[in-house]
Amino acid sequence: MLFLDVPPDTTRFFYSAYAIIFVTLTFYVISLIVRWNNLRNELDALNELEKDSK
Amino acid sequence: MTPTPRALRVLEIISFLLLVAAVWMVFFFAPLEAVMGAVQKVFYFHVANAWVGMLGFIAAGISGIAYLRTHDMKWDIVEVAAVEISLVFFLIAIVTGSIWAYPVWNTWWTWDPRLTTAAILELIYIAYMLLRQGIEDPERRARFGAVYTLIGGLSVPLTFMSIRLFRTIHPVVVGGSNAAAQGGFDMSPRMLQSMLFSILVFSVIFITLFWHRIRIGVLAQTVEQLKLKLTQ
Repeated sequence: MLFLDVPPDTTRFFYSAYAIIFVTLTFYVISLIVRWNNLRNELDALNELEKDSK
Repeated sequence: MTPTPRALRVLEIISFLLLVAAVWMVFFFAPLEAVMGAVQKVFYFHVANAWVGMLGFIAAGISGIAYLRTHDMKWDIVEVAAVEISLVFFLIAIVTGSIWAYPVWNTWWTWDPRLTTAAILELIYIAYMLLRQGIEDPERRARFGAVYTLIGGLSVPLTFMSIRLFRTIHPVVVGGSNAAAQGGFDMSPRMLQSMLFSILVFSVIFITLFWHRIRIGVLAQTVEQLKLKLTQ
């Protein structure tokens, strides 16, 4: 890369890296939301079961 | 379970706005580096992700110590949350580093001391998550986790210092230089500002996700306890 008059075109690597960052973070946030909702549903069901057993 | 705290909602909005600002800085504020071109800009988020990743692994080690001292299960929840989020951020750092490396080093990966110690660090904590799943008893699991993160935490300073201790092609951009480094560059003030701002932004994002993940851990514990109560 040395002795070039203009910087090499590395734009696709730049965009790929940022796409990966945002996709990974989005998936992780979605996984947190899904886990939270699943646990809430499970807790509600268990509370109902506890009420019924009394 | 209490609804989402107002402070956490505010933190979510701040995190999002800061992330937008950081992206703007990387794309439009930071200058184009003369030798590497646009790919150099990967550096800002790469460093920020590696930083919060390592910070989380250290936080997990501290939580491990707190658990061993108090035997309070809340520290186990904090520890797992820290490890899980750090695994995500550190994976991003490794992958983005590899993407940067291809046009600069002409290879996606090389067994350089920094890359090797980073890969080992990630694998240590992947193993932690897998091994935890194999232990049924919550107290035994927490004790194992605490000791593991304490020992595993030792690899964090080793990974951080590897570019300063060993002969490596990984550039030392902050606080020094390395004769063998390839792809190093002198930071202009705008580059430095973009890097520091990215580190700040990802630290805030880390705190936000950490808080959410701890809440999930607490909820999971409540569900687990209720299940036990109903089966007895």
